[in-house]
Amino acid sequence: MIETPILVHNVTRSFGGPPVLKDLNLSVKAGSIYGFLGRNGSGKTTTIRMLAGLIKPAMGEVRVMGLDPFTLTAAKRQGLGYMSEKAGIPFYTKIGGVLELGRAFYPTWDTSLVDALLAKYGLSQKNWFRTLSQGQQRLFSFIMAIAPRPKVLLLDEPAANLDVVARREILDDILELIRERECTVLFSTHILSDVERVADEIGILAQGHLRVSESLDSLKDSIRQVRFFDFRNGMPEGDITENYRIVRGKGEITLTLRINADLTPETLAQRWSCQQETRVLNLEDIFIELSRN
Amino acid sequence: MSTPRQFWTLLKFHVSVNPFIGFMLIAFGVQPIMAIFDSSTYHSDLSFSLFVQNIFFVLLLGLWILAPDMAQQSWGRTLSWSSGTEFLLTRAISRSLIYRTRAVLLYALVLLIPVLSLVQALKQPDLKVTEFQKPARQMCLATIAGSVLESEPGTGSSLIFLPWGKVLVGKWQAWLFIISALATQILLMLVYPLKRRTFIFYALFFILIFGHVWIAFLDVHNNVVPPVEHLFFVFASHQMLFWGLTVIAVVIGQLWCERRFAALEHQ
Repeated sequence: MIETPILVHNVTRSFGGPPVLKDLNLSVKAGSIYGFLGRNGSGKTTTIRMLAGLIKPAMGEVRVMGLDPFTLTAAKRQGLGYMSEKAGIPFYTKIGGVLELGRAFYPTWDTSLVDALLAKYGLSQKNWFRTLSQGQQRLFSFIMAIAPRPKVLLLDEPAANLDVVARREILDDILELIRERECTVLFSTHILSDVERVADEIGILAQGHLRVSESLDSLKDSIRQVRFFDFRNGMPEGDITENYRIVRGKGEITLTLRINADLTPETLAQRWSCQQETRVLNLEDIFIELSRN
Repeated sequence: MSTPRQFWTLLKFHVSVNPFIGFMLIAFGVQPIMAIFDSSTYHSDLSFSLFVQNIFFVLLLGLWILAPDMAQQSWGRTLSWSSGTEFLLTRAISRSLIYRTRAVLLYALVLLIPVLSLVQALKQPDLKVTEFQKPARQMCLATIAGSVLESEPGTGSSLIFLPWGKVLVGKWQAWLFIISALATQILLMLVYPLKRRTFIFYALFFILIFGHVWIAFLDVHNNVVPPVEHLFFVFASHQMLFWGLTVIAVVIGQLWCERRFAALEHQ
């Protein structure tokens, strides 16, 4: 079994302008759920489309289940489930017609799972795809992604346009899939509560780089926002220490940094002969601090 | 290796992607349907009998069937329907099969007209045409076996009688449609990765339309064998060679397009 079924190594990619991704490194452990966060335009969808084999990196390499996703054969692609940001399913098809395509191409297609999910989400095989609401279209795309029981599941904004109940149901289904089949999931979202609820690990993408990639607990335990003030020997200049964000104010410096045994707010306050005030951040605060330019 | 079930399911899916194909089919069908009611063996001009006005639709059909995501980008505007390309490319379906089924659909639709024309031609296989230009008349008589000059009753003007001429023209049209479909495939796969691909495609489309008319207009004034008729006479006298080369070109072109499609990014 491959330890990291999803691997992005030193990937750079642009679309005619400045690079969307710059030396991106990302790895997802087998059987885990990875919450992929970032602002609009940060490169989440580009990364996921690369993992799905739709686009290639300009530099670096991408591996899914140990293989280049762009050249995956139909047989190897059996293990990869993908739900795009847009449904991508033709409007003039019936749900039953699209499901027939799934049944024809996937030996592992789980018809009983499909029937159960259709009933749960209130969808019928006779529905025309164009008559579905945006939320229903996403639910159906989700069914198409998980019905083959994939080993790796890529979900781009799975919860967009969904009501709270449907969102919760999708998350529960993802968890069930993991429990049953050791599936590895990477999903992007703007809904931080979803990430807190299901993700084992979190990655925050900003300006084409992955700013952090670790478990939520580790993130919450190690990232702090510290205000230093009342400097007795004047404020320090230049790159004062490794930090995610620095805001210089009148007589004070606010740092968002990662603390560890060697670097604590107290040691910094002692070094600069000042006082400090430390604030514990929740996921939303961390996301905002790390995503800002 | 794909199964017949996979092939037909995918083919059905392609049809459902694009309901506009149906409208094109109606537009396509007008000329041969009209021709079915025409039981006469006489045609006023050989050039016009060889002229296939529907040939331009092959380009449009090719665009909608082979590269629907490109057709979707109508002058930089995205239409509100989905081509399904991204959906298919991210399923466990061979990219070659996706392209091959699209190409089969294109050829099936494109060959509909010449097949109808040929069926209609079998009812009255012979053809009598007027050919005003002497060099063309001579070339016709020299290259098409059994063709003879006849005098039109009443007017006395000379006609060319072509035994099985209508069938020959039907085969010529079929050949033209196949070559056009092949050229469209290759053109689409060449421009597909380009940034201004839709603009380039439509620019070429209009150049071909007006270029074709321009060539036909030039034909009238020069006392030479018009290039289209010249090619037709060569086709008529070397049919086996033409069909053999066409089959080879279609197979090679198809394989090249499939490989190209599989290697292209789909943004």
